[in-house]
Amino acid sequence: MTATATPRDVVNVAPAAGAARAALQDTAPFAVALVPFGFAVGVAATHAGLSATENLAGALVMLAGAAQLAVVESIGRGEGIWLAVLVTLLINLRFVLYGAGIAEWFANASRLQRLLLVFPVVDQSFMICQQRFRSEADLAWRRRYYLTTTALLAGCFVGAQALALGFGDVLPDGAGLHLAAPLAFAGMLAKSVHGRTELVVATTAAIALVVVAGTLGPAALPAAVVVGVVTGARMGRTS
Amino acid sequence: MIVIVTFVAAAAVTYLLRSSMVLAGDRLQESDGVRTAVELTAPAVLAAMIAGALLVHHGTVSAPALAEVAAIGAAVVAVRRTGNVGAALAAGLPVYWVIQALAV
Repeated sequence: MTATATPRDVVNVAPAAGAARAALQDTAPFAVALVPFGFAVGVAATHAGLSATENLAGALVMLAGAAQLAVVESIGRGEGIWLAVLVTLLINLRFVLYGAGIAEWFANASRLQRLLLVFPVVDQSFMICQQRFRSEADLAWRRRYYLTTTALLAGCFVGAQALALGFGDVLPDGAGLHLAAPLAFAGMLAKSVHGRTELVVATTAAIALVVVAGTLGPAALPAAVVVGVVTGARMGRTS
Repeated sequence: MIVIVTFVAAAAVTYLLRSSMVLAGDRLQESDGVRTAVELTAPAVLAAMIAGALLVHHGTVSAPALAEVAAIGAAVVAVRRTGNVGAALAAGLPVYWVIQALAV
């Protein structure tokens, strides 16, 4: 499914020793960019009434920023487990594609190793590794590169949340931190809209949510998502 | 306790999604329809959550605050220009602060 080369295709095999350094260089800008987002999640958790232990435990077991933020918001609204799980399912559906990438990159690793390696994959690590693994085929090199990338990303993201949980509640109400979550979602939306189809999907889903919010309550979100996706699928991909 | 259970359930779903292709091996073949639906889900979810945060309060639809809408707009423009999701907060919050200050 991905355009990356398989281990058998590529002959350029770099020494595994340089993998960690290359990963740090490639990942650093993405890791820095995760800090404000992690801070937003931490602030949202504080506003939702979560303890630091609860939120950090959630961050570590999920390792999925947007979904964690949505779960935190859902808990804050008292919506219950099933809606939080449903929203997580919808937000993280793209991870199926990332898992396919892991299966391909580490095709020569054992099944157990692949099942462990797939745990921390996120948007950034998938994109970074997809670029690198086109020219690097050695399994040990790839494994070290991938693990360094995911560790750096997770460390920055969870560290930023810990910082926010420590200091977020001393910031004044007028700071607008209630906007942290919608702003972070807006940023992710801006990156996920690549053409007219995604724009129509997003607009349709937003309008649908407003239309059905009063009648469907917590079920409005999944209903709006279905309306948006079906509309986009009917249009066909134009981008 | 309910918070931890919610996170664990969400984490389990997330891991199942991540590992589904590894577990399925060659048995699952991606179709264009499935791939399109998967790719379109993210913008739909994100847009619906933003609309909910701005327009729906306690189950009732109400007009959004100008400062909040402007902040979201600034966030979108900043991320489109920089490609950095972190720019959303860096651009959006100052816009919110300025408009709030002018409104006082």
